[in-house]
Amino acid sequence: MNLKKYTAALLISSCLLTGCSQSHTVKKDGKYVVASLEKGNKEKNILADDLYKSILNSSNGKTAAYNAVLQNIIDKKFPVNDEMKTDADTIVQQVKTYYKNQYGSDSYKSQLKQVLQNAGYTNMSDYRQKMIKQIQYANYLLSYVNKHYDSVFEDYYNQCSPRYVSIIKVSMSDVSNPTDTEIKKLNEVKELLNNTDKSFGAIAQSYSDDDSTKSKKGAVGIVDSKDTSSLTNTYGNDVVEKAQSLKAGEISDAIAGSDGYYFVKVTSTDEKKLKKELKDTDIDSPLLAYDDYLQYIVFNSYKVTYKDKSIKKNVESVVNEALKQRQQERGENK
Amino acid sequence: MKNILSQLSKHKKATAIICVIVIILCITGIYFTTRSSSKYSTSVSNGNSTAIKANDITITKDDIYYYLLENYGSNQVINDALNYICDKEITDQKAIDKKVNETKESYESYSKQSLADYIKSIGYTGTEEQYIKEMIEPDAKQQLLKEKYVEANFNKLVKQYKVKYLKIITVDTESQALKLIKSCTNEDNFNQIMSDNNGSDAGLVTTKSSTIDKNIIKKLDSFTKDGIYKKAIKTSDSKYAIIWTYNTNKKEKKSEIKEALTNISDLSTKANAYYFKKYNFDVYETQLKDEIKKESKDYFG
Repeated sequence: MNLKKYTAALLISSCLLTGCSQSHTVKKDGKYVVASLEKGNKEKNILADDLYKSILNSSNGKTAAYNAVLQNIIDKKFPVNDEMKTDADTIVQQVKTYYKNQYGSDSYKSQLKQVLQNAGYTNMSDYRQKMIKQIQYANYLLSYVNKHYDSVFEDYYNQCSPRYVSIIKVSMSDVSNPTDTEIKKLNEVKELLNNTDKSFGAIAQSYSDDDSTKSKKGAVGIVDSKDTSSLTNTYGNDVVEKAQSLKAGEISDAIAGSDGYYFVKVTSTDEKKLKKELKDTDIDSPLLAYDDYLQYIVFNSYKVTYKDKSIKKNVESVVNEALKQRQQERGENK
Repeated sequence: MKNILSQLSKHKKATAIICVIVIILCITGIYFTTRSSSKYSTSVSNGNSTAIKANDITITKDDIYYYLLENYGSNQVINDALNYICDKEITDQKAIDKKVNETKESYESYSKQSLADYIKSIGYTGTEEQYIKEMIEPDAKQQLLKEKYVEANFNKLVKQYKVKYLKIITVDTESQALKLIKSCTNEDNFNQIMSDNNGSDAGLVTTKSSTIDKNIIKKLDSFTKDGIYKKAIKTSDSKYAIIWTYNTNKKEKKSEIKEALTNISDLSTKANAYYFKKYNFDVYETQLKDEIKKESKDYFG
């Protein structure tokens, strides 16, 4: 019988069970030491308890406490599941495809790596992890929006004036110096809109150069004053602003953009129709993006009880400050 | 037979001991694995106790602690360690008060408002005095620690960062540069040529000076005496630089050089490494130690 042999085998298996890398712990008076300093006979231990307190008392302390509680709620209430992982994989794939199309299959990887690093991500895997967190966060908001749909929609409708918008685009290689063909096409669209009965949708289908809306009779979808669909990036600020200023049924004059002229039509501002369409809320819904302070409203919908006073003070301060700021921005006074 | 029985009995004893060890290790293992699925090995006192309840969700003190460690841990450990070192190394209260005032003034100048208004604007709820004690004084002491490091290692740093004072003229061709070098007899003469050829007094230059052409930086070791450098330096944009070196006696410009060295971006890391080694800094939370090593592997002896 060789006891040493058995003990060695057991130690190996126990390492596998507990994780050897976690075994290097130091305790002082029963408390975990995170770090230490020592010079001569003087020693300073930075305990786990000290670190906890010093972070909460630091200049980041309030935000740190709030984020810690928020992330724990999200992790426990909306834990990462296969669907979230698949969604993150889809996003990653879309990003890769976009860069492959932009820069070619040979050099897209280095371009993408640079962009990711500039945005603060270590690599694509890090980006994927952050996307999963974003999806978890979106689910946190979504759950609230679904439960309080009527009030959230009403607030969105009042704050952001959502409307259905369609566009016709006449592309130009140089807007300041259009070709004869481009001018001819622009004038023809104007003529059709102003002096014939042909519908806006039908003209869009026949003449629009915007690939993403042409087949849908020019329909862009729902546009709001917060630009939750980020249409400014695609069509420019003037187009989005005009879409917000028109009444239902009105069509704009030709608006010069960076790559052509646009005609904008507000097809409907009907509240019932909008409410019905947005009822099937998903993570792309404008209802999750229209209010910068929605996360605090959602947080307050939880019945939170605190056993730790320092956490309570910090968290409540962040939430109350944010909601006060929201009221100020909306010109509301309690 | 007796021997066999005795051996069997020994085996039984050994098996019993092993079983006890297995049970202990299993319990310990289960404790380690269930204490938290966290990647961290430390825990706060009463870490398993409830800190917050949100509807049906229970958040323990350790849940909060692990989030704080992941997002703020390595920075805070460094900061706490530096604050301890500052308390030991920086004891001249007059110097601290002076630096605190300077730091306070720089906050006010940066934010274009009084400190009281500034701390209100960032949501700080304590008094101005508390803010100075908690935020400004530690900053000021860390700045003084950096200055102390520069003072203690002045000659070494001057050598390392190759501190020089230079005047630079850049011309299009090598022949033009060589003719000007030949015609230059003294500093007044150089200044005139510099003025005629849109040259400039670059002042204090180090290996970290980003506005100076990299080929001139590569040659810093060659500028050992006050006066003209006898060769033309081909710059990265294929022009030719003529160099006049001055203030090679660094002692006369010590305070200016010290200030410049203190402001070099990676000087903080060097100073931290110096004091962390002096104080045998160590981190037992592996995850944090790895993160800190990424900032500088020199932080640990």
